[in-house]
Amino acid sequence: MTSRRRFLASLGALVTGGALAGCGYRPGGGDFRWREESLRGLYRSDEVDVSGETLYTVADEDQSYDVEEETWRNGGRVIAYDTAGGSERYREQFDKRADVVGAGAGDVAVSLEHSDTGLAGDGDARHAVARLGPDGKQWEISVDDAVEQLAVADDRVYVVTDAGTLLACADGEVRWRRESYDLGVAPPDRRPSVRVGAGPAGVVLADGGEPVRVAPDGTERWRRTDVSLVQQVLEVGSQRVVVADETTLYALAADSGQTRWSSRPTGGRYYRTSGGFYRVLGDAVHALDDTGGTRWTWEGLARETNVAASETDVFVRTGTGLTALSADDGSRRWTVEYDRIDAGPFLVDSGVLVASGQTATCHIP
Amino acid sequence: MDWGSDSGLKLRMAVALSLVVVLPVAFVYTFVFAMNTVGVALLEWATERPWNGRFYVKPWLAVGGVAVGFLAQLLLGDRVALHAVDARPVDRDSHPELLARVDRLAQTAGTESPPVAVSRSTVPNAFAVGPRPSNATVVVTEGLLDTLDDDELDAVLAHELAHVTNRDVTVMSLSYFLPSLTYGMAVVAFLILKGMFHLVGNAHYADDDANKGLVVALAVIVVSAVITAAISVLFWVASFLLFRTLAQYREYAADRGAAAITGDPLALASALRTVDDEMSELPDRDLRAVDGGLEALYVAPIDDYKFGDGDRELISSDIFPATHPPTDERIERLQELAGESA
Repeated sequence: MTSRRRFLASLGALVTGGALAGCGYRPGGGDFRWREESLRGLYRSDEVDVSGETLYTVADEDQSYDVEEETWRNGGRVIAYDTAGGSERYREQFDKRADVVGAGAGDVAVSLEHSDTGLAGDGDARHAVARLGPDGKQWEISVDDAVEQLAVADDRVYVVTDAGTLLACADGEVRWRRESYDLGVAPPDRRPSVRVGAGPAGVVLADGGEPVRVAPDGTERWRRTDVSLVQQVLEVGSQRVVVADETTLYALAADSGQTRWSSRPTGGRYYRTSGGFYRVLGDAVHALDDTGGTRWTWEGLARETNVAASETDVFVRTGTGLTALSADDGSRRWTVEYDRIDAGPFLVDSGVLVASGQTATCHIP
Repeated sequence: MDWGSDSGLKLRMAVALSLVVVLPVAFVYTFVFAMNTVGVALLEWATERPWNGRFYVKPWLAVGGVAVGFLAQLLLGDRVALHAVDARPVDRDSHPELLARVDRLAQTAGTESPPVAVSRSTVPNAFAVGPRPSNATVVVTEGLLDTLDDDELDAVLAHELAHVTNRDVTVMSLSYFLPSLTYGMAVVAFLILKGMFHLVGNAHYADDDANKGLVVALAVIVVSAVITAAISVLFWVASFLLFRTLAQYREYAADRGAAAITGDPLALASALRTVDDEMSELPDRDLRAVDGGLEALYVAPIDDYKFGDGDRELISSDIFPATHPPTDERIERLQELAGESA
């Protein structure tokens, strides 16, 4: 190629590149970032959750053929998808039924239970807990009793069994255990309460409805006997613990358990997001301020919704689909129609994620 | 040489030239508006997914694109015009008398003598092309050389030199950019629509999904083509109206310039009458087949708007001015000018 042609080609490329940079389509809120259809993991999954940048789907029972063992395997199944593009990271098939699920720190923990068929052989524990991360299963550990609740923070998985034992597990080992806790029975007419929460300050659980903080080293730091009927442990930070009972939201000092503030927004289900706390009651979502007061209320939610929020946007399920609200004043920003949404919305780095049937869609916020 | 200025004409020219620059940019953003209203709705329907964003063209690109269009029009316009009328440059060996005339008139006008080209057309007419006065070319037809006497030929050549000196060729080339663009886009949209109807007529229908896909694709293409054609026609009408209005302004100024150079307004009046009479006697062919933008450059109009034998006009000249003012009116003005100078 002559130097003149090379110059003209370079000039042409420069002009074309410049022109392309100067025009096009600027995606707006609600547009598709990506969509993946026919995701196996969304078929008959009991639990769909996002932790970090991974979408985990957990089915309590599934069947797959183990090529190496040349045998069928029945049990729980976890499939992980990359939230950046919807590609499958891995799938993990267990021999035991998957039951309780807890997510946090980018990972997911599942309890595994042998069904009562007497198939568990000698040495084959009936109960186990496994931790899985973005790259696959990290470890699996046997436990003595059926698992009631799980919470994941840092390298720990905190396990509360139906025998009232609190276990701190890490790297496939039990680091410590404490006995005689009672999480009570979740009311049958509502979604499962989250009565165990974990974070940098250790684990907080509702023992008989009373919030108790146990430090990462296994020592019980405080118990609030004057607060009862805790249904949700929302935050276990290094400075603050936030819990909610039937009527009141409490912010407690992480080191002492003393009340920093409390508000009585008259019940509902709370959501802790990166943009603050939100409360859902009936078809209304209430944005709460730093002291639990209501900043604004927006009505029109679907019967079941998750609330995902950043500092600028709030995403909820409505009767018509997925709706984005302004975090400042609750005004509606956009709605994308869906016949139904089965899971989500979840806020991820690439956008806001919902699952409908076997399709996962990531929308631009 | 200064042949006097017309402040009203200058003001009208300034407004018209501003519109020449603004209209292409407005054309771009009208398309962007259509994309963000009808286009987005169409995309949502066709793709069954939300399109909540905005199509955009950054102002620097719109202005830059128009500038490139203007530049191309200036750089390529003269070659296209010369090729269209089959005009060849002539030298002093082949046309010594013609070039001597041009030299003399250019000297009188105080400008450089431009190159001269001769078209083989038998239709008597003349025009000037070139992006700048320094590289303009005066074109005359063989019909003109055969028809006019010496004084008339001087007057016509002086008229073209006045066009060159007044930078009319540059102005008209620029103002013809948008009509060219919109005309081309409208034609492409029409051809696409025509192709679509042929496609529909010859389609072999398969299963329901394939039919649905075909219907969606056809609908998107047809609606896009109709909108493109509608916007293009709208801007073509506006820009062509502007182009012709500008052309009329420039003709009067060039007539005054020719009279000043030759000192004989009646010679140009006589030339215009001769050319006009000759033109009306010749069949509708030859120069009339030339690109519409070129006609504005001729010394006398070559368009008459009429279909067939009747009096039906293609576009009413009441609202859609000709490239040239009526010859009678030009002659009348030249006669007034002769009276003033007598």
